[in-house]
Amino acid sequence: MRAAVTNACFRFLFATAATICFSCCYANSNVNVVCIESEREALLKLKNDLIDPSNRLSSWVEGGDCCKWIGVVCHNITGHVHQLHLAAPPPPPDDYFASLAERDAYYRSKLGGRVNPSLLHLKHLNSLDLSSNNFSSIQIPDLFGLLGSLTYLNLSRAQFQGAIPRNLGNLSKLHYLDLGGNNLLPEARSLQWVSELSSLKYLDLSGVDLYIASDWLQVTYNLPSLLELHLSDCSLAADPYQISVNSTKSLAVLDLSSNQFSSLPMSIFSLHGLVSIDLRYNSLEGPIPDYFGNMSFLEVVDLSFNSLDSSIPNSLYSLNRLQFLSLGNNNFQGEISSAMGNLSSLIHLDLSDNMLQGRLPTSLEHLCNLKELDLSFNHIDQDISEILHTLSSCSLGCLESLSMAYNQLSGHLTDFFGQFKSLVHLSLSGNRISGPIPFSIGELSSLEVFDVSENQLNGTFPPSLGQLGNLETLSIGQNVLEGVVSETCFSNLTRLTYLEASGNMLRFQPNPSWVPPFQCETIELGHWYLGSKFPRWLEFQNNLSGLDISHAGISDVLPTWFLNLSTHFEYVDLSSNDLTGGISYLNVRTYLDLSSNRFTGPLPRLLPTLLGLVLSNNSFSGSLVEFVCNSSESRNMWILDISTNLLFGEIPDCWSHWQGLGLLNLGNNKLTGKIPSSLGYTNPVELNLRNNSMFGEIPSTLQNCSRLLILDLSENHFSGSVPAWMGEKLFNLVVLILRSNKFDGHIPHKICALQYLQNLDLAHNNISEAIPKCFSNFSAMATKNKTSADLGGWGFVEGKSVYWSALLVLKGREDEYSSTLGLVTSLDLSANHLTGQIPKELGTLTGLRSLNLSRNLLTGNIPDNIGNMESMESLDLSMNKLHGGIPSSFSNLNFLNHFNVSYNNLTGQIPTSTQLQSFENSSYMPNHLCGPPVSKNCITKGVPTDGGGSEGSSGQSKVKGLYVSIVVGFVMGFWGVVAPLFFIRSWRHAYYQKLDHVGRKLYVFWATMGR
Amino acid sequence: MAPFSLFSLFLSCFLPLLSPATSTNSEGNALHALRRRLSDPTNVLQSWDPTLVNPCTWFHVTCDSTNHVIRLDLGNSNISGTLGPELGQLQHLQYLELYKNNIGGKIPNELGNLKNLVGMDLYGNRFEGEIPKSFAGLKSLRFLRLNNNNLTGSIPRELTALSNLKVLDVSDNDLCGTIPVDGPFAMFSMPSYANNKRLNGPELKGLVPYDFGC
Repeated sequence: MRAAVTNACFRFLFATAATICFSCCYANSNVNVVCIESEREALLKLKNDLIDPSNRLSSWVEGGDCCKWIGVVCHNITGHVHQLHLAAPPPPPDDYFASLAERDAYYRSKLGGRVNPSLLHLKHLNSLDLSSNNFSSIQIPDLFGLLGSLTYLNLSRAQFQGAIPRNLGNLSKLHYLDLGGNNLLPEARSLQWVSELSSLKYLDLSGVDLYIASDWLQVTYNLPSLLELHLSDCSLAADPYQISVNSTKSLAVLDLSSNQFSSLPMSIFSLHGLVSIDLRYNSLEGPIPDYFGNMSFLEVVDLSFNSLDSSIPNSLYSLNRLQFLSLGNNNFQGEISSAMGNLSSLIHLDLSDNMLQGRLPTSLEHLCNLKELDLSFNHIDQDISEILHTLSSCSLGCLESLSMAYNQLSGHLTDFFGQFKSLVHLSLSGNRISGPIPFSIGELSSLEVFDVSENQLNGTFPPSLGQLGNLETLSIGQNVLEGVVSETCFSNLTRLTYLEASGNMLRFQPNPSWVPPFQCETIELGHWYLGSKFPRWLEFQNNLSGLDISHAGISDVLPTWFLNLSTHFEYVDLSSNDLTGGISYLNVRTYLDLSSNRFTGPLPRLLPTLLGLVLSNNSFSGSLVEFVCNSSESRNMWILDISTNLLFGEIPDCWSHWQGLGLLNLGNNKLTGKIPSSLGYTNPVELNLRNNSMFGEIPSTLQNCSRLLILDLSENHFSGSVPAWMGEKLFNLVVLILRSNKFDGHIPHKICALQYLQNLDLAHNNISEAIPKCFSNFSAMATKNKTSADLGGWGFVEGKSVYWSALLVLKGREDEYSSTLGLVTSLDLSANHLTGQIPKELGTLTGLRSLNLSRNLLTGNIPDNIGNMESMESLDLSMNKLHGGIPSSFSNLNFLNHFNVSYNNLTGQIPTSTQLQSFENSSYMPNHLCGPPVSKNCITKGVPTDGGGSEGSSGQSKVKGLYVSIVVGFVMGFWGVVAPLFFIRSWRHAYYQKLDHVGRKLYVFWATMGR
Repeated sequence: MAPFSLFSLFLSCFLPLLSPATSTNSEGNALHALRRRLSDPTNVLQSWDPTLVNPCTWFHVTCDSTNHVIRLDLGNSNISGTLGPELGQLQHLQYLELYKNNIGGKIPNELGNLKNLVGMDLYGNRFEGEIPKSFAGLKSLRFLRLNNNNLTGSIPRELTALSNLKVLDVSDNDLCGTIPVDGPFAMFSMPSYANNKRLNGPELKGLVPYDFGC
């Protein structure tokens, strides 16, 4: 939309030939003249050499009146051919989902081939348009330079290539020359020929590589009549040095977008009459220079998509003719100045995707002409109702587009909202707006886009939304709307194509015979309750390409009509319902998620274009053979998750054409056999085969898996030793889980080379010998401050990452870690036959959060420096043969939440700390330990400690004991004196009167004693 | 990386959100609310991702087998800020370890709702205001250490009902009134009360008001 507006703005200045011609391009001019014989012959020769796959020139036939032919305009008196409009029709709307047929029709409509010299017989030709065709094989023919009558020549986007013929300079009558969007070079490194085109008003050389033509600036800026100059994407990086430009005063529109300027080209400041400047998509850095404010005629300024920073300079606000200002996608900071209100001519203001903060100035109320305001992706922190109030004072009637998505807006959408009658596009997603969607929304009758997703809106789905007959996009997902949605809510939404409402607690159960009035391309109703029956109304959505009805409470057999829908699905998410039945085939092009249902039968046949397939948590059964080996074509699949199903048999050995895989998860099935050697060639980022019945050794082809971050082979019957090559070849490993297998032998020292390894789980195997001292080389376990919480993800889902994840045992329980996996560090060697001492080198792994060495045959003392592992939350050394004491350094472990040293031969006092005494005595028993929390007192210290386990050394305990006896003694003695008095009624009154005095004495006594 | 970026691009445009269930994660929400009150210069709360279905994988948070939070271990973590009423929602919490930080403000009354709390260690912070009377509801409490704060007011008599209390430390505050003698208070010794300039004791039931000197 933004580009369209920009173009509209640029073109408004040049309403000559270009605009006029379009009105007659495809309509035959109703002239009464008959065409001239020689010119007809010339046109037919021209046609003969053109390739016309769609037969656009079908009207060009022998003997016809060429003035009535499509694209031909004759002079209405002389009958000479004056204009040839052979531009290809415009492309289909820039839509990913444009059908193949539409795309094909578009490409077929382009003319190609050669341009016959017979064109030169059209001596009176003054306008030639061949734009948007496909002349990819040829240069711009020299003969165009001989068409001396031409005032208008448009060869843009026609796939011409090579050098621009210099003789175009002969076309001295040219007013309009557009060569943009081709793949052209200046001949002889010079644009000198352009200087001969002294009548030129419009020049577009976009896409011509002018890096090698150092005279571009002198030539173009000196053209005396030039109004509009487009040099987009010309590889311009800086003004040529030593310029002395006698600049044209006439140049009004300058387009230097998509070049490599790193600072504003100084030459533009000599163009005093400039009305429009476009510097989008350059590499501009630093602040906007103040002298920009001197270009007082500017009406259009586009500096978006650069790296400009600092605050928006005040000088800019003196440009009081500005109508279009785009500073989007830069790094501007600070608050928006109240001087913005000076720009009272503004129609379009785009400050999106910067780091602007604070509140909008109330002076924006002076922008009475504002039609489009885009402030999305900033840090504006304000109540939305205040903003609407500011904008309502003047621009109420004209504001058509308001985008403030992804700021920190709060407050409610008040009923006042309904007064913005002109609003077409409203986007407020990703804020903290709460309260209901106001009923007055129904009054915004022009509204086409309503996006309030990712807020905290509550209340119901307002029925008045259903009045918005122009609405095309309804995006209310990820709010807390609740209640029942009735089908009448949709009755007028006949133009709706995009319905995105997932993540609300809404219920929608239309009458089974309901036929929606809309034909949507996207329907997302995830987390809605759609009733137990599969929604029948989807059958009538013939254009549907995206569907999310996950978590929708549907408990039904997946109907056959759904499987037979003729629509071309791009993605389908039916996950987390209670769907049953088998699926033979599903027509989904990119992403399919059927996870967490009760689908049965063999794996479905699917399109080979599929990039993501998630079938986990179902009851798909059978073998993988057909699914994996069916075709030898290379597969593009990136995500394949069939975990937690009932697959059986062996994993087939035909993975060599699955080389793009990122995630391969076949965990929790009934697969048997060995890991097939071809699996190694898939080189996934995550490979998960956990909890199957597979056996054999890890094949050496897994050495190819250099991308592996996560390898989980746990809970199988794999045997042999842990391969030493893992340390060298799988150098990216972050998570290695070989838990609960039959691995034996020793832990290879080479594994210590895994510098990124954060989680190593070898528990429940038959591994023997000592723990390698080189474990201290696991540097990722030694660093406390991890830079990134996650390990990245396999994709984005509505802008949010879906992270790589792993099932890890920490804190005594198994959990899936995903978005924080990058922070997790653990080492679990439990339940093996490890012998020898705990190497003191382990104590250097100070970033480790969980260490489990339990159920081994470890001997010796616990190394003191284990107490230095300050990040430790979970420490289990139980069931070994450790002796000696628990090191006093263990008192430093502030974060311990899971601790076990039971079943060893430990002796001595349990060190005191708030953490250590908070565990049950089962964490310590049986051993020969004493002190809290175990009941055995440490009598060797002379004084028994109390069972409570407060902090302090035994020395303090002695003092404490002393105090206890003093206090008890005092209380008893005191009561011995006072109590009798208290019970003698006649004395009581007198003593009451003395209480104050007694109290004061007591205070003095206690105060001194307490010191 | 090409297939990755291509796919990401696609997904970012067209995929529905696989959002976490918006169901009951009240304990996670309560902890997230706590996080928002705290300043965390050393990033100890970095793993507290509120979009996860429960807080059980967050560091310094421990859950039981039914995914209820039973421990919060944030002693000596350099955190500052205040506590809020939402902590009262951690109904299964057994250990609240927030000692040796820089947390200020009042101790929320709602902490008294934590029926399963065994240990509450708020010592070594900057808490002010009174010890909430609601602590009388902490029927399982064994360890209560509130020492080294700026607490004022008297020791609530209601705390004498804490029959399981084994360790009490309210030293180094600015408490006043008299020291209870009933229930578990019979066995606490002088250092538990030291360095409270206006604290008198023991209480003389009926003879001296327990908030004498406040």
